Amino acid sequence: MLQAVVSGLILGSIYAIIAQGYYITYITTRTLNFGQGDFLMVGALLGLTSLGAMTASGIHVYLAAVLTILLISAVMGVLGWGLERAAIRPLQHFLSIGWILSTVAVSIMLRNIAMLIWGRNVIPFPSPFGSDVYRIGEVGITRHELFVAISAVVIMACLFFFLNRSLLGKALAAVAFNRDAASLMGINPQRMAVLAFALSSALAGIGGILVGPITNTAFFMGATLGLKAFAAAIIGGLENPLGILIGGLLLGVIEQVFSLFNSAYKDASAIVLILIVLIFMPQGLLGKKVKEKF
Amino acid sequence: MKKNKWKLLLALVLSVGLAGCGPQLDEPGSSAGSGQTSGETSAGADGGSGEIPIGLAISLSGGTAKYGEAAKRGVELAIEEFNAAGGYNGQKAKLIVYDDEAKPEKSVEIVQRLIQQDKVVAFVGPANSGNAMAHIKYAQEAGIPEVIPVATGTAITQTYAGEEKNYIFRVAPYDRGQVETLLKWLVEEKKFSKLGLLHDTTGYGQGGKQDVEQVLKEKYNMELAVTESFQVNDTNMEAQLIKMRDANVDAVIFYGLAPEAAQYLKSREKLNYYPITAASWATGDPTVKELVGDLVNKEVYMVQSFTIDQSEAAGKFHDKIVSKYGEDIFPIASAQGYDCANLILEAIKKVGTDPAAIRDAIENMDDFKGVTAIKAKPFTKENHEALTSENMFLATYKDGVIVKP
Amino acid sequence: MRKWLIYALLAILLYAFPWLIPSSYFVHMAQGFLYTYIVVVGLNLLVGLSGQLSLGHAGFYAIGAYTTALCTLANVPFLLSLVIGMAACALTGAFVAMLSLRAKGPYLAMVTIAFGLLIEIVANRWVDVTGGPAGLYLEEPSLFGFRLGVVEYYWFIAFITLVIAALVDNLFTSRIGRTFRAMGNSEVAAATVGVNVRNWKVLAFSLSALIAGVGGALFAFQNAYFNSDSFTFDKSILFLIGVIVGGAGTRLGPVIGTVIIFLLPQWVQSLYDYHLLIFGAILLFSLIVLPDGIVGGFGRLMGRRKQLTTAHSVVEDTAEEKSDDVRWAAERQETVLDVEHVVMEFDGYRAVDDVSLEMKGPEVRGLIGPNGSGKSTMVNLLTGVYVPTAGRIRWNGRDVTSFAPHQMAAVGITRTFQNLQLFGEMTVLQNVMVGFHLHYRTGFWANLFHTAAFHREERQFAAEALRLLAFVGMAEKAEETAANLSYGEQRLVEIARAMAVRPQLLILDEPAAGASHYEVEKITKVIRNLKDVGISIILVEHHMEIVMNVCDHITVLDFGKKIAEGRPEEIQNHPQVIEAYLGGEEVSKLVVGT
Repeated sequence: MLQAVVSGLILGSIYAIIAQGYYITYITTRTLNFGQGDFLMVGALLGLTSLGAMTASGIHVYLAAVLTILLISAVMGVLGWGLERAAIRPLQHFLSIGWILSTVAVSIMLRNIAMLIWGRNVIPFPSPFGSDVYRIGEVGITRHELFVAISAVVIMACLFFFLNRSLLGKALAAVAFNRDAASLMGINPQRMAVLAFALSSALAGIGGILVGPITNTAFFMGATLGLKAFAAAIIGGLENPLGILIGGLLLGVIEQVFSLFNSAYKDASAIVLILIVLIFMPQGLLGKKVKEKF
Repeated sequence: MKKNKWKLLLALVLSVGLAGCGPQLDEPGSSAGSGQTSGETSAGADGGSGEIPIGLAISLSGGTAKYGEAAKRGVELAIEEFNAAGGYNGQKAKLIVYDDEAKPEKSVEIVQRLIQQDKVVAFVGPANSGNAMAHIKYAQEAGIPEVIPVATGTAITQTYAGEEKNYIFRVAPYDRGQVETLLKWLVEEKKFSKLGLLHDTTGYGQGGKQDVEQVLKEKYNMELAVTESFQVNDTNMEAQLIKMRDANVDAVIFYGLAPEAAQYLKSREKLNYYPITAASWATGDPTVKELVGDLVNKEVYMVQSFTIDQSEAAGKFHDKIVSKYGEDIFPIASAQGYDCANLILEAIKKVGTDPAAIRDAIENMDDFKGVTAIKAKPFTKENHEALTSENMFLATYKDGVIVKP
Repeated sequence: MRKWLIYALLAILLYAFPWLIPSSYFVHMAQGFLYTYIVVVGLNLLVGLSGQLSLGHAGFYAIGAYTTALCTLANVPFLLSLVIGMAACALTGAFVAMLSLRAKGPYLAMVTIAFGLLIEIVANRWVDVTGGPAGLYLEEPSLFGFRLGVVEYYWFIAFITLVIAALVDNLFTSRIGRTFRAMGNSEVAAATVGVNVRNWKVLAFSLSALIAGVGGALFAFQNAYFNSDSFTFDKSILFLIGVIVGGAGTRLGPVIGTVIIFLLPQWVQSLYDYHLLIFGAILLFSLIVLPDGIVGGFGRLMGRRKQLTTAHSVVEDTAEEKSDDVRWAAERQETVLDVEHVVMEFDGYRAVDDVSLEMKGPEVRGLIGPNGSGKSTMVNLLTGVYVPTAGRIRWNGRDVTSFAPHQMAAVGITRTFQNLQLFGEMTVLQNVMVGFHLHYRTGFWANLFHTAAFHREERQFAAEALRLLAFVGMAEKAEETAANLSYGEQRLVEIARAMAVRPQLLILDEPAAGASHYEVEKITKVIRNLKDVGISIILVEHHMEIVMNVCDHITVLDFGKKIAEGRPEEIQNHPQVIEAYLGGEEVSKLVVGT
C-alpha cells in the first residue's frame, strides 16, 4: 500500500509538471497544446541522445544531466515558439476549436519524424543516477525516482516563483487577467503567448527527461502521458497551478492504489475519478466558479 | 413533389428487379478500377512477363511497429535474394508493402487492396493477431495464400482448418504451443501447483490468458491461483507483483511484450521479490535486455524457437541482416519474416504464379531450408503451423545471453 | 424540387457504383467511406451546428457496433438490432450530455474524452460480452430473410446513408437546426427566447450519438468480424478532424471531411514511412489556410455565405411601420412585477442589496445608476440568468424567483443584451425566427420530414419575422449575416428577436450603447413605438435623454441599493441621485438631459 502511494506520488508529480504547461498556455491564450505528450516524447528522446553524447565525450554524469536539462529546455522552448507561430497564432482570430486539431497535427508530424530519426524500437533510457534501489522499511525507491521527486519540488518552486514574483511572470498573469488592459500597459500579448508556449514545451521536455527512465522511450510513448497530464490539469482546475499539482498527485496515487484491488480496470479508475470530479465540480477541484456576466 | 420522389424510388427499385442479376465483382479482365490506384498496379498474375507482386501487410507504425519492421527486413532480404538469383523464369518478384497501423479495419483495407488492386500472388501477414482475425476472411475467400510471421493468436490458422483448402499459414510460435511448452515445464518438470498469470490487456495478452486457462484446465485440471493484468505503457507492475507475493505463488507466467516485460523486471527489483518467471517468446526480444540489463538473469525463463546460434543458417542470416541494415532489431521476427517470404518464393519457383498452386505447393513443400527451426516439410493439410511445440523450448538468460537451461 | 433531383442522382450513382467499378476492394472502400461519412454527419450536427464538443465519439460508434452485433448474436433480426443499437446510443448520448451539462471548453472535452476511453476500456476488458481484442464473429446481415452479400450490403449502407443525409439536411434547414445553431452561437440568448438549453443540448448529443451508432453498427457487419482495437481515442480525433477540416456547421463539409480522413490516407498508404507526416502536414495546412473548413473557406472565396433559410418569397414593405402592425405581438395587458427585498451576492460582495420594486404594467420603467450600481445584475435576476441569494420575485402573482431564463420567457419576460448576443452565424431573419421558439406548433417529426405543415409554418413565421424587422427598420437587411451588422443595427435586431417572443415585459439592457448618433435616434423611435404597442418595458440606459423622455417612472440604483424612485422630473432633482452621479461623467448628462 505504502509502496503504491509512493510510486503514485512520483508518477503524479511528473503528470503535474507536464500539466503546468497546459496551465500556462491556457491562461494566456485560452488554448493548449493537445500534443503535449508528443513534445514530451521529443524531449525524452533528445535528452537521451544528448546525455549519451555528453557522457561519451567524458563530461561528468551529473553535470551532463544538468546541461541536458538546460539544453532540452532551450530546444523545446524553440519548438514551442514554432508551435505557437505555426499552429496557434494563425487560428487565433477564429472562434473555433481548430487549435485542438492544429496542435494534434503538429504532434503527429513530430511522432513521424521521431520514428524516422530514432527508429521504431523502444530505447532504453538509463538514468544518469542509476537505478539502485533504496529501501525504507517496506518501500523501495530507485535513485532516479528520488531525483524525480527532488526535481519536481525544485521545478514547481521555480515555476511558482516565476509566475508570482518575476516581472515576466506578472506580465503573463496580466495578459491572463485582461488581455486588452495588459496590452495597454505595454505588454505585448503575442509575445506573451509565445513565451507561454515556449515555457509549456520546455516543461514537457523536462517531463520527458524525468519520465524517460521510468517508462521506456519510444516514438509512441507520448500519447498516454499527454492525456494523463491533461486529465490531471482538468481534475485540479486548469486555471489553478496548485490545483494542477494536487490533481496530478491524486491521479498518480489513485491509479497505483486502485491496481492493488483490480489491475484490469486500473485506468478506468482514473477516468471514473475524472468524471466524478467534473460532475460535481465542473471547473475542477480548485477551479474558480465564474459567473458569466451578460 | 412527394409523389414524384416516390415514383423515382419505385423506378429505381424496379430497375434493380429487372436487372435481375447483381454486378459481378472482381471478374478477371473487368478490373476497371485497377487503373485508378496510385501507380502501384502491376501486370496481372498470369502476365507471363513482368514482375510477380508479393504483398506485405504489417504494422509499421503503432505499438507493434518494431515487429513489423523486423519482419519487413527479413522479407525484403528474401525477395532481394530471389531476384538476385534470377527470379522465376526471368520474372522478378516485387514487394508491395502497406502499413496496417496496428488497426484491424486498416488491415482489412490494405489486404483487400493487395488482393484486388495489386493482384498479389501471395502475401506475408500481420503482427497483430486481431488484425489477422479481421482480414483472413478476405485472403481465404479470394484464394490468396497468406503466411504469418509474427501474430501468434492460436485461432488464426484454425479458422479455416475445416475447409478443403486453408490458405492461412504461419511461421511463428503460436500461443497454444508456447503455452503448452511453458506449462509442461512448470507443471510436469517443476511440479508447481500455484501459478500466477500476469498478462497485458491487448489481444496478445488476453489471447495468451485464454490459452493458459484452457491448457491448464484440459491437460492438468488446474486453475490459476492469481490472474493479474497490466496495460501497455504502464510504468510499473508493483501492485500486481505485491498480489503475487501475497498469494505466495510458485511461479509467475508473464504474457506481454518487451517494454512491459522490462517494467515487470524493474518492479521485481524494486520490491526485492524475484518469483520464478516463465514468459512467452516476446520476452526473448533483445530489447528487454537492453532496457533492464542484468535484471534478466534472475529466474527468467521464456519460450524460444530461435537463437542466432542454433544453426549455421541462422547465424549466416543474422550476419546478412546486420550487414544490410546495420543491426538486427529483433532476430526472431526477421528470421520468421525471411522464412515466410521464402516459403512463398520457393513455391513460386516450383509451380509458378497461380495463387492456388502456390498454396498447394506451400502445403506440400518437403524440401524447405529455413533459418528458423522450421522443418523441411513444415506443413500438412491439417497442420498449418510451421513451428509447433516440439520446435519450442524453454530458454533462460545466463550472463545476458539466451541459453537453454 | 432541385434537392430531390440531387438525391435521386446520388442514389443512381451509388446504386450503379458496383457496375462502374466492379472491384470488391472499391466496394469495400465505398462501404467504409459511407459509414465514416455517417458518423461525421452526426458529429457535425453536434460540433458544427450546436457548438458542443465531443472527443469521444468513438465511444458511441462502439456502443452502436456492440449493441447491434450482440443483438444479432442473440438472434434478434438485423434491422431490429440496428434500431436497438441506435436507441442505446441515443440513451448513452443523453446520459453523457447530462453529465457534461455544466462543463465547458476543455472541461467538456475531458468529459467526452473520458467517456470514449471508458467505453474503449470496457470493450477491451469485458471479454465475456464484447470478446475484447479477440473480437466478435458475426453472421452476414440479412434483411427479411434475404442474406446481404458484399454488394447488397453496400447498397444497404448507401440507402441508410442517403436517408440519414437527407434527414439531417432537413434538420439543418428547419427550426430544429436553427435552434441548435442559436444555442451554439449564444446559449444565454437562446435561453431568453425560451429555448430550454439543457434539453436541447441533450437532444443534440442524443441525435449525434444515435447517428454515430448507426455508423458503428454498419462498420461492425462489414467484415463479419470486429474487435475492441477499432474504438480508440485516435478514432474520435479523426472524426473531429473530418468535421472541422471539411467545414463545421456546413452541409457539404462532412463529405469533404470524410474524403480527407478516409480516402486521403489510402492514397499515401504505400508511403508508410511518411504517411503520418503527410497527413499531419495537410491537416495543419488546411487549418491555417481555411480555418472555417474547406467548404466554409470555399464559400468565403466565392463571396457568398451559406444561406440556410427556407424559401421565403414574402417581400414586405420595408418602410418603418406604425405600431399597429405589431399589435398581435402582445395584447395590452395588466401586468404586475413585484420584486421583494432581492439580494444578489458574489463571494461576499453584494451586487444587489435588498432592492424592492413594484411595477404595474403596461409601463416603461427606467433603471439607472452609475457604473457598477447593480443594474445589469438586476436585469440578470429579472430574466432568470441569476437566481437571487435572497428575496422574491413575483410576476402576475406567480413566484418566479428561481425560474430559469427559458421559463421566464415562457411567462412573458425577455430581454436584450448590453453586450450583444445575436446569433452571429445566422442571418437577421433567422435570428428573429429563433425568437418565435415558443410559438412553433410543428413537432420534431414534422421538421425532420419537412411536412406540409412545416412548410406552412415556416412561411408564416418568416412573414411575421419580416414584419417585426420592418417594425425596427431592418427589413432590408433580413438576409444579412448578423455578425456583419453595425452595433446599432445589431441592437435593433435584438429588439426584433425579443419581440418575437411576444413578451409582456421586455427588458432592454442599454439598447443604445455603442450605437451611432443616427442609430440612437432610430432606437429611441423604436422604443417609443414599443411603448405604444403596450408592453411593459424596463429600460436600462445611460443616454439620459432617452430615459427621461420615454420612461413613466425611473428607479435609481447605487452600490446595489435603491436610492430613489419616481417620475422623471422628480428623479432629475433628487439630491441623492445627483450626489451618486457626482464626480461621474453621468452628472453632466443628467443635467443636459432635461
